[in-house]
Amino acid sequence: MMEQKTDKQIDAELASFFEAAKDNQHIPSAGFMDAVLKDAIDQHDRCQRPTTKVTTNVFANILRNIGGWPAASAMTACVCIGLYAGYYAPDTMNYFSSAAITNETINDDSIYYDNASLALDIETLFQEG
Amino acid sequence: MAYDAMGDVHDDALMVLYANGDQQAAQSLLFRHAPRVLALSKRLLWDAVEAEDVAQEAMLKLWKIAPSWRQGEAKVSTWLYRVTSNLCTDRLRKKRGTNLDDIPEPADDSPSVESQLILTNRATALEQAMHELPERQRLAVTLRHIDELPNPEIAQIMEISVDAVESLIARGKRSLATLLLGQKEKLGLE
Repeated sequence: MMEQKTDKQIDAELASFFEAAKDNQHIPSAGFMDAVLKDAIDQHDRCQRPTTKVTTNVFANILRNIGGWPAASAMTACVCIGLYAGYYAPDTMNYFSSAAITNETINDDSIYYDNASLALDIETLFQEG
Repeated sequence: MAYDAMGDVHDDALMVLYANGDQQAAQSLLFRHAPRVLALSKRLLWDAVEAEDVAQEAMLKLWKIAPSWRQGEAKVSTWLYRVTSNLCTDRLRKKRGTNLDDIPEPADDSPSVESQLILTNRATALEQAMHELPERQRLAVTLRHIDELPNPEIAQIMEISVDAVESLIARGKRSLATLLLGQKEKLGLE
């Protein structure tokens, strides 16, 4: 009856075969290598992915994100008006706001006495430009 | 053709470079992996022409996946071995399904084999014996003992557990030992 071999015995028996197989590596032909390289080039040309432009310029990125120069111009104008209103026109704005309030109140018959001051206010407003 | 000029660059980086149009990176990937892919497919298919087809197909899949390659998720070599083994399995299944006569005959005692059974042809004898193993055993033994991959990586390639890999290798080696036993004398091993 045949003895059952241990794993070590089997490994020892097969070791020389595996070593021979490792030494006998399959060397690819030049034709094969060329064909695979050609595939690589063709494949890259065929489906060259649309590379997302990586812009390192922060300003350019912001400009693109907000919608380009037209949007940037409009936004700049709004910002300038806002700044102007904030820094230079609080008194004038008061005239506007009080005029608006008074305008609403003149429709109310109970407050006729305020018309004179409203006229004065408007006149002052025009004088001040 | 230039040799792997980017020998110190990691495979993941080469994939990115290739995706960005660097042909040098393609060459490096080619020289690193194509020979191993071809060797594996030859061992599994035992047909040089078909093995080249499979290897070329596996490499083409690599080129295709390069733009969406996720760095750090899998080793390029592991991925390629998996793709190659799957392609080989498909081919072997098709062969089985169509024409069994196309499968090469296993080694016999014919004079042509007799002349091969010399010391320098142990590799051939092993290949012939390997061809008689079931596909999964053949793949596991090849990856472990010829490509010298660790069992966990083989498990990844074959998508099975490490225990299952060990079992396949052990059974494969037992079968090989039995198959090669009668040839030891002819191969100058006794």
